[in-house]
Amino acid sequence: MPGVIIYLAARAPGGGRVSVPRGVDDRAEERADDAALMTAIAERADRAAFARLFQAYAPKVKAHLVARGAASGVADELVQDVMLVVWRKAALFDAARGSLATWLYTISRNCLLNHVRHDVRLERRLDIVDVPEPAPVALGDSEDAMLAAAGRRKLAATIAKLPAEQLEVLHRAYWRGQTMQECADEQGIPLGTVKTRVRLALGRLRELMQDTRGRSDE
Amino acid sequence: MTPQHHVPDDALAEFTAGAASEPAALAIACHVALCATCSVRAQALEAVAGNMLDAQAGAELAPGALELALGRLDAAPEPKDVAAAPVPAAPAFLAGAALPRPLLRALGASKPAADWRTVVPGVRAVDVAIDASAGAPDATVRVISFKPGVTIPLHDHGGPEHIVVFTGALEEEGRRFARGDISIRGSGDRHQQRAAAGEPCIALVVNEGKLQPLTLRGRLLLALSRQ
Repeated sequence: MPGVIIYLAARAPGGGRVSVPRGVDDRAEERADDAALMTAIAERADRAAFARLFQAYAPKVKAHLVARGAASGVADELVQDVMLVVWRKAALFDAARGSLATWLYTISRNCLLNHVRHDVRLERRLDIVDVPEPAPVALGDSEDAMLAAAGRRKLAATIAKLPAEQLEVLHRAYWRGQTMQECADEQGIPLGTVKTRVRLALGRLRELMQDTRGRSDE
Repeated sequence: MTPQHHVPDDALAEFTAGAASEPAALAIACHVALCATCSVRAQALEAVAGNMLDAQAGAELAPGALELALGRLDAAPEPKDVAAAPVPAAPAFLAGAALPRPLLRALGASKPAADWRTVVPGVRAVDVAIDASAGAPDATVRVISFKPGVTIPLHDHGGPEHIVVFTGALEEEGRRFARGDISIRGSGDRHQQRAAAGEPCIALVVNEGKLQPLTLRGRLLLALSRQ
């Protein structure tokens, strides 16, 4: 079942509308599946598992690259790179550390940065892509609650509760790859306001995740 | 001792979004590599980003994209044969500084000098090459070794400055920056620093604008450093 997306329209300068999706995660079962598919790739070089992940995520990866300004053809080429990295580095995916979507986000971000900064050719590009490697996750605060598997579903719902203007700066930064200054310029608001909104948004997320954690511990 | 000086949320958001400039990103990555707190904070921000990716409807792929991808798997090594990317070793003269992996990678890619170069008395440096096309043509990225007790006279900055300490400590205005600590300054932030007594302070110093010395001694030192 696809994720439910509620679009929130925000007024952009010049009268254009910016759609900021508020994701609600109802894909918990698929998520457990993602980890199993990644294990199948890592341990058995399972092509059918790869094909399923490709169909589920490659279109989202492309949408991300296009939102960051990649032309459609370049985005198609980079999607191939990202998914080949998923195949080659599958053993480094650690489901305890984050969702597959998060892992894919960081890989597609790094692939695009390598492409933009170094304009290097395909094979070389693959070698220098930084892939998040497994690291111990200490438990005990709200950030950990965001990372722990149980917290991930709450995180999506929590993001959806943020005030519109805070959601928009997060969206501009994370989805479109804008700097704080670019957010400020495009929205016609002071840089300090953008920074404040980011801090408030992240503070609010931590606070809400902390609450979540408190309740689930009872 | 865990780091005491961290990356603020807005800078960490820019970094995790991949929007930070390459020089700034290198400094922040070095801090994050040495700071368990910021490492978890960064992962949490990436989880927010991953959530956005997941919530999006996808874009239409080029025809035959899956077949193309499956075809490329034939030429790729088997997943179980691909280990984590190797980290280059530090040059011998830097071996004692326990440099974090992001810096080792940047140094490895930039063919660093074989030894320190003296900038001014008490200050030695090695340049780290950062791709000048990465939107920061004036950036200087250097690993600097400050002799204990040496002072950096009062100065302002033409652009953002990031410092991450690896050994020893830098002191300014009663604050102490030791291993893993990051100092982020911008234009209009005037400060004077001093390397603490004890061992030499080795730090990554990233400036995206020119230093603007505000004292005669500072101007003299800067003139000397450019000879």
